[in-house]
Amino acid sequence: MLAQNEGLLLIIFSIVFLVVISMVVLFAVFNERKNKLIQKSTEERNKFENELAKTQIEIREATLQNISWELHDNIGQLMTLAKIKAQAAQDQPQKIEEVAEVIGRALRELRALSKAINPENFSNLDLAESLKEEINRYDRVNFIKTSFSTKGTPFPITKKDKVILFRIMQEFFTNTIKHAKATELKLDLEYKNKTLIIKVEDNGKGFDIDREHQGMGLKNIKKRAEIVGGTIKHQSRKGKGTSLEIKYNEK
Amino acid sequence: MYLLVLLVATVGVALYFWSSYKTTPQRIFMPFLLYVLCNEILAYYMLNHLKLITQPLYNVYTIVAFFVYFYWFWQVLEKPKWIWVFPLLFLSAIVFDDINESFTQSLWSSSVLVLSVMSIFCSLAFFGKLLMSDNVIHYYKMQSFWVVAGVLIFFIGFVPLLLFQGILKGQTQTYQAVLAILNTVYYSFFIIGFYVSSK
Repeated sequence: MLAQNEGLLLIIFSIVFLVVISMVVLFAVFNERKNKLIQKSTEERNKFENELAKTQIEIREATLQNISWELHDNIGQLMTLAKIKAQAAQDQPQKIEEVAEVIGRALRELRALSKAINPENFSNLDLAESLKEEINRYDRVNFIKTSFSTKGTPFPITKKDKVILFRIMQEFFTNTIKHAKATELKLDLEYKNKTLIIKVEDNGKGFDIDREHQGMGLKNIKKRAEIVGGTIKHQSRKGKGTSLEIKYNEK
Repeated sequence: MYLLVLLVATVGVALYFWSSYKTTPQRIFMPFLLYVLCNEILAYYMLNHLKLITQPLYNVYTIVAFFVYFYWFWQVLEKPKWIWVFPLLFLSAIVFDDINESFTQSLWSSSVLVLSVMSIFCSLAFFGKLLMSDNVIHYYKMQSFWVVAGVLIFFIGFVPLLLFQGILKGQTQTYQAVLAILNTVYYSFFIIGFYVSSK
């Protein structure tokens, strides 16, 4: 009788023990996994924030470089022309009108530049408007002939993602102007279902993508597209120009 | 009687939070719990007032519970093909039990065993899938997590009970005590599940 009772107690104890252990293991495994995922997500967020800060610095630097170009090649040229015309007007007062007209053009360019470099202006514009302003600037200083189009109904893009997408495109534009020796730049934005497709292409000298695909620029573009959850397709052939397509899904 | 109180509490909570899970696969547990409650009331009445054996009621319960769990797991595991092996096993177990054990006189143990094995296996598959997904961050806010945890822990305790049934024969109180512990865990997890579904 005693042995039977001990046996029963052992069975009850074993079952209760099994149940308790199962519960402890279950919650321990889930908590461990949860903590790991939280840690991973924090690391990804930090990486994103670091990349964002780096991107913002690069945008600022690129903007300063653009201002320098624009002051030198556009407004500077206009002011030089105004000076020459003003000197000529000393002998021919009727030419003062022409001086005023050139100074007026320079002022308009200065206002446009001032508006374009205002950080508030960038934050208030959506991605399409910011990109349009950026390529218009290249047009204005006659760096390159540009075309721009949008299709579909835009959806909202977070400010942080906008900064990163903008910088990807700005890097492409800079490469086109600095290295591609292109004369045309075409930018198309298409909002299709819940995806934004950005296509940009130039008619520059292109390069062998298989040989030069390890370049820092492309690596940066790829890394940045990934951190905003986008995908890229980069194509280039020697003498056939370069193109880039980014697909970004609505969040 | 304790089980009845536990069931009434669970059905009460399930009814109270019905609106928050009525569009999810967990809605199947509302009619199932009502059925279990009616079954237990009937079993209590038959046993204590009519002095009848309740095995047929519990054999029917095993069949109903199997198909409820099967259907629910089929949905939450996103309709895997492998799950269809369990209805085949279960039907074989029913045929085996029908030949070897009386429907009215004894509990169909093979069928209960297949029900238990399916529940444990599908619960582990569910947890494996959940652990691999990002939803694990909010696992304690998921109703399905608590339901599966209740089912898994219940059957982890119930399978040894089923296997030691021979030793426990005549020890109704011991059997009932262990079952009460398992039911407490099972229904408590269901109650937590219904509660978190509203959050």
